[in-house]
Amino acid sequence: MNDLVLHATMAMRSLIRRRVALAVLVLFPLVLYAATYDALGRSVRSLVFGISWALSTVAFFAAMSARETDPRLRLAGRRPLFLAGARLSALLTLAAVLVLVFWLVVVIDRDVRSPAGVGLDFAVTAVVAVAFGSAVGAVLRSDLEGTLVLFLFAGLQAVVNPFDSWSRLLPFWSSRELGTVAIDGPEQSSTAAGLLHAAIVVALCGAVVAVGAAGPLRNRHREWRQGFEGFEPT
Amino acid sequence: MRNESWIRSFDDALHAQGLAAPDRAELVVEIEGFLDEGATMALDHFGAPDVYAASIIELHHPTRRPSPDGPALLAATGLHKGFRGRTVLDDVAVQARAGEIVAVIGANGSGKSTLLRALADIDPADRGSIAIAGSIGYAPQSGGLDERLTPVEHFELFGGTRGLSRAAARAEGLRLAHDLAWEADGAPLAGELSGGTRRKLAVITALIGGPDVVLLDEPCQGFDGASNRCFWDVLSDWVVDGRAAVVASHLPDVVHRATTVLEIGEVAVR
Repeated sequence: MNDLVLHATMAMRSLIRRRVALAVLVLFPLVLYAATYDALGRSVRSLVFGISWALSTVAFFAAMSARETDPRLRLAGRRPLFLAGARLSALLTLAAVLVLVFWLVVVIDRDVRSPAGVGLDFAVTAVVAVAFGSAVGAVLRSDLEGTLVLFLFAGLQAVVNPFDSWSRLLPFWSSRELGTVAIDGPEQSSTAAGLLHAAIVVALCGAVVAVGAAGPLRNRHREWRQGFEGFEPT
Repeated sequence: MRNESWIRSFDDALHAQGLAAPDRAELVVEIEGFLDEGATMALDHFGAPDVYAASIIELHHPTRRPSPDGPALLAATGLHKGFRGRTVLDDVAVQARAGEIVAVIGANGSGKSTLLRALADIDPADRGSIAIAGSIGYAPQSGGLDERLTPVEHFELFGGTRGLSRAAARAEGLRLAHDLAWEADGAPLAGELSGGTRRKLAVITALIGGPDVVLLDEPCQGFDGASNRCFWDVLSDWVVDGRAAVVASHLPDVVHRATTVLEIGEVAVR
């Protein structure tokens, strides 16, 4: 447990020292919220869009940054899933603080139908964003490519008709669904459907992260076991 | 001081300390070639000629010198690695015993870094077997650090991974840094360090916690003369305690500091 705390602490320090990026992370959703302030539903959805893009981007860059140290730490004895878990712990802690700030802004500033529903929407969006950004970071190796992919998915979610069946293929469909329940009521949308969608996306992204992290180790074990067979120091 | 003057003074100092003419000539030719290739100022890179000559003499009359007579800690055979149809490693074999420093040399693009990455299994070989009796530390040619963590935080992270407490990791990291002519306590984030100091941090995070085998890719890149000598002293002490090191480098002094030299494509044991 102490080891996990050590690695999560270091991951958190590395994250919060990106001061300019963190400032943008906070400001970006708030700017979108302010720019669409006239319509309650639109402004909350814009804030959710900002959260999804900002947090997934932070998770992506955290994964990219870890590419430098993780292979060396694995070599020194850490399991890949341990390292990924420590990083996710730091990201989710940061996300929890931001979600709380954004939620307080909305429930104090606006007369929303369901403050708890808005909180649930923000929290689920944050978890999906961290998972999705980490998965993209496990697959893509270029900062620019990853940033564009994240923007594409977050942007698509903002402009597509959520009632088109194919929109459920987008990772942040649950954000829209839960947001509609919180703002407009449960007549047209379902909390259960939103939570189920989010759970599936997080599970898929977790699988991608796990495979990405464990892939090199799988090769390594095979090679090393072969190497140790019959090897006796002389 | 111009390079010609430096080399003359270096040769005089070697002569004054009794090094035979053929050995002096060999050293001078190597250093001239290195300086020509890199357009480097000898004084900047090696330090004062008499001090550098003294360190070379020390190698010929060492008090505690690495020797490859311990048990094998690393043995790799038949390593093949290709990139986009081009073979980089072709049936490469390398062995390192306790007490041994293996220098991997070769031209640019010859596969030195590829070999070390394969040995570390960070970029596995396509074929071949690798056996390592113990733990490994690895410092890549560049990077390998979190630019937003301080050196002390790196010591805690890497030392903790090898079982040290945070206090013990900090103490060992600071001691290694001191031995490399660097006072790391209070140093800024890794991303704000100079290139040479970053290399020192990468080396320390490979050595901390005492792995049995250490793989160092161009560890002295950017070191000043004094740091270069300190590095080899640290590494010699390191392997004499029963460990092994594999060092890839294009710097000329590596062949004098190592106990075994492996040129990619051919093996030569001194």
